[in-house]
Amino acid sequence: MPCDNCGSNLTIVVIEREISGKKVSIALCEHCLSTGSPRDEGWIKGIIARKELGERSPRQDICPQCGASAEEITSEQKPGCPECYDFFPKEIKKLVASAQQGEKEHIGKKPKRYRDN
Amino acid sequence: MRSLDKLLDFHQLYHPGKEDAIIDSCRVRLARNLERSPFVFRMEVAQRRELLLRTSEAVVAQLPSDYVLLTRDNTSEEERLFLEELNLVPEKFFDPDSSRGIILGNNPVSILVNEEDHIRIQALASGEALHKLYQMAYQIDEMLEKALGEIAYRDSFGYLTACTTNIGTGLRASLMLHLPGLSITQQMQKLVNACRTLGFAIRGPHGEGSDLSGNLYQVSNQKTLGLTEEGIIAGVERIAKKMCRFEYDCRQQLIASMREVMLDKVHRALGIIHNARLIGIPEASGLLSIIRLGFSWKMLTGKPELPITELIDNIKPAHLAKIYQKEVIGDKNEQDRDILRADYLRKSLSTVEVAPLN
Repeated sequence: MPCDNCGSNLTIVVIEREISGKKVSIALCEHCLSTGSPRDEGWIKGIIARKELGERSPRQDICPQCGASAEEITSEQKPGCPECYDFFPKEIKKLVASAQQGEKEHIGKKPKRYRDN
Repeated sequence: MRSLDKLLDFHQLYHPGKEDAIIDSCRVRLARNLERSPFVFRMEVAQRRELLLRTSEAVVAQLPSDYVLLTRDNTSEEERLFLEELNLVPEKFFDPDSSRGIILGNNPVSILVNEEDHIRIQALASGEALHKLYQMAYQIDEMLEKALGEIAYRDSFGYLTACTTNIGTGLRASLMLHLPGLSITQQMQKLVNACRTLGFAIRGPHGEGSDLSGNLYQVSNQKTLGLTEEGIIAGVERIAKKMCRFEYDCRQQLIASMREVMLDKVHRALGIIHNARLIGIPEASGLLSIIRLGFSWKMLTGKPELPITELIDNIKPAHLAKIYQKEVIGDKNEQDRDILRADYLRKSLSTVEVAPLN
């Protein structure tokens, strides 16, 4: 379940509040829970409104799929998920260059769905 | 030179079970992951469990009926150790809460789930058959893609993996070499360094360039990106062929310059195997390696009950437990195993004798 604020999939808690007599609930990741204002009605209403419009404020610094940060990837020398390869091109380029002794392009087998095009 | 090349033609000299063989076994491994899912090390236990169930259901349905999923829950400690001894799973594979499994049948190809990558297709065989193993793994790879949906892949990076050391083809091809000559003459370190420079790794069973177990070394590709699968396999074969030539030359040289010393080594090895009442794995592996050399130098007559490469597996703890139908795995039973091992080797090599010296 993605965070209603930033879309991260990492450690989600569900907050339930009663606002204007109605029960509402939003899902928040650890980061948005700690940096946001979950006690502030206005803040929660804002998140719900953006959710209804299909908008989110994705964090620019963590992978939207797995929540890994650039620092984590560099220090652990591992991407967190396939989407990290897209989201952190600079860090990934460095890791690949050292792991693959300068090789850059795949020239081997492709999955079937790529071959049919 | 040309006649030597002919002699070292892969598919003739290096048959499984030949005691003077240098290439003992081969292995290919393909690493694959699913899109839209964290890599294994970032998954919660529940997520891993779900992936294991989903994968095994989809996959087992596509495979012949003798394929089953083995996990910690449906295996005994002895069975798990047995799988480890066969090099089908790495150490600690079945640790509690790891939610890992191996999908296994009566076939060289098996599938590991939730190891370092979501899926690892592996194929093992004795002798040298990398191309064949890759073909088999390829078929399973195609089937898996159909059964599981989107496998993580990008045009530039190829198949995506948890460790960037595996991206691109995701292929690790390796050959297990028996290099007693090079070990005895202490040339391994220099060769390990040379291979590394060329893009190949050589590892003893217990780590980089080291040997603790019977002079066996595994040679494999380091790069997985920027090469085709066939190119990787050809590269591993090429380097292995060079190592074979060095080993072959080395054995010739040893017998030419140090015959009495080698004769002594071989005779002593057989003497110990015929007479010891207790023997541990490090010593046994070393002796079996010398025995193989003895055969290659025609210093021994007779025949072991099984090829020595099989004996090497059969002296391991879970194998012994299986053969003797005794509960001898575990730290408390080391001496019992040492007794059974000595007994097993005595019996297996009972018809082997030193060749007459003229």
